Amino acid sequence: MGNEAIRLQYIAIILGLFLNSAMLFAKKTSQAVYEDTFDIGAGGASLTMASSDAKMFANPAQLPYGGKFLRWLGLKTSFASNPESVDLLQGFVSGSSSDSDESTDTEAEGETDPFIQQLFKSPLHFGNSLIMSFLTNNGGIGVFYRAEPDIKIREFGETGLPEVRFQGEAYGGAVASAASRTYFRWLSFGATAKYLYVSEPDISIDVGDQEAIDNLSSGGGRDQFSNPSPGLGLDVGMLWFFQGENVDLRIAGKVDDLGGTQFSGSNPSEFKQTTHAGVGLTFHTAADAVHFALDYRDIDGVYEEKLFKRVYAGTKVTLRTYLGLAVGIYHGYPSAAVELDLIFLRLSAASFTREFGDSPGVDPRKIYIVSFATGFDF
Amino acid sequence: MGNGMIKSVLLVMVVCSFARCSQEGNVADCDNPNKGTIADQVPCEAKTDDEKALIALNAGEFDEAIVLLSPLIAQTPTEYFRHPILAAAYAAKAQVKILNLFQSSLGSDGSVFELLGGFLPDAEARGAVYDQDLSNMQQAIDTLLRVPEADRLNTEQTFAKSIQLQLQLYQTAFPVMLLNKHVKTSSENPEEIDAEALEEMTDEEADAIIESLEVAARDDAGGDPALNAKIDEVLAALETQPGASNRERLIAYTQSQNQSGEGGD
Repeated sequence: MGNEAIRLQYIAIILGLFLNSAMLFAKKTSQAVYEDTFDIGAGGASLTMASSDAKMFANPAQLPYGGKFLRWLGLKTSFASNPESVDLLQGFVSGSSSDSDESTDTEAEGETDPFIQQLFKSPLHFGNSLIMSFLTNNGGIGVFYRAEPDIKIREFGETGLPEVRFQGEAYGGAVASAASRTYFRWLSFGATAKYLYVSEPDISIDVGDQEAIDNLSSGGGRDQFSNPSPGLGLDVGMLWFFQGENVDLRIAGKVDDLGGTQFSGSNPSEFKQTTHAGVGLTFHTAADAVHFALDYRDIDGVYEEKLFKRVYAGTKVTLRTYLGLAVGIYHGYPSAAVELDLIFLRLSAASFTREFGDSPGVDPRKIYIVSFATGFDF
Repeated sequence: MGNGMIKSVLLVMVVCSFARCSQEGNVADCDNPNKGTIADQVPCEAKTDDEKALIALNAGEFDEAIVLLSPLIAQTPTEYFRHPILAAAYAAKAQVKILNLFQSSLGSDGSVFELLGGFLPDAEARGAVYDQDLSNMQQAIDTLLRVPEADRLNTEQTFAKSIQLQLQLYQTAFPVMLLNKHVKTSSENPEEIDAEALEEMTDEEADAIIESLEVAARDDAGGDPALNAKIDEVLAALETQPGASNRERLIAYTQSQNQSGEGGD
């Protein structure tokens, strides 16, 4: 009975957190609220060159460069997960429906339920995003949503007790960008106004803390999850683009959340103003290109992240405009992506590792993302 | 620069980029042995000793966790958040894991000895190491008791509930472990307790067992009320046993539990 009871205890906590998380979790840091899959695979270095709709979030000053006036009208959705989550959920389903003899055996041996053992080794991490956007040479609009919960159980938590920790990122809202080249054709400016709904729980519960578990299940406990805070903010960016016959140089600067973005709620209450800089070097022929990029985000250390979380570096290779390959360093870990542009359908897949701890190697998550975009790439 | 030359350069750059980016681990991790020659040029970020201790604890490297935490506590003795983590490390080293104890406390049947017995180290199997397990368990309790009572009971502190729960569990587990030192199966009948081994219990050990149970059951010490009730049941049952001393009553209680088929149903 003991193993079944503790399994139910853990499940109650996890479901309580997840079911109350319609728009929960966001831990804003120096990263943009929305990133394109291919850009993530390129190490997340997107200040100098981002993919289609991600330009509005990465650096709107990129919009004027690209030739045509009409750029993109379409829809993109992405799904993210760590490799263990699928196995874990399959194990949960099969474990719940297993006959009682199996539970009795493990219980008699004094061992922890195999499903719970697996939960201790492999956190649950999955996510989904959706964006509809329209881009031109001088601006764009978009409506987006991104949610990515993370649930981890460990035998020894921050207080020495078994701990369930729920983190997440949820952003949604609308963005509108405007950009233009200056009199100097190599210099452009851009701005993105954003109306965001955000909720940022980061909750740790000791499994033995019955009071906290009961509170989570109560109406008051659910409120902290299900009430996202709206806020209005502004990002501004600039781009120096020195274009040569076969070599281009890009230098970018950007300020996110100019003056601070205030939210009506308390979690979060504000996105702080941050300053970023990036440099990019592109070697290209008429049809193919290799782009090297390096971003340094949150130059002033406003969010007090260590350096390895603020430096993004990567390489993108585009071949004949329909095949893209990317590699990079994201949070200090290798990343990679591939993209196929099939006129009305664009498929992307990326692999990267995100560090949830404060130092490298403390709490990494290897994540796979696939995205599907459909629309008109003019 | 012809197109062919440029494409060759591009190809070389791509291959080099993929090769470099195939390195495992974090390039900024000082503890990563696979960083590679280029990453060696990148300034690394070291984990704090607190982070290392938690990683070691969850990896089952309890000695490493103790080695990391002990000097930190010595340097900043009033930063009490480390005490429950160190206590958990000592307890785990004594083969006593909170998760297993927590599982047992969710059950509603059986005495506290029956509940915990299946999740504590087997004294017979541990042999000569068992005394070290007892010593580590005592270290776990002492570590928690070094936190002033006012701070242990201050629920505004994130670590207070952990200290209360761990203290109750360890102060309950420790007397059971002491008793189990003398509860051995008979060589003639595996389902019976070896009476001679039980008689080897000293008065001091019996007093320590009873005293630990009484401390664990204190209502003002925090902890799980259900477990408090279980301990009270045992203390009440001990009072009804024949004998003039704690030792005699404890031996009588243990023998009576064995005769009534403890833990069987």
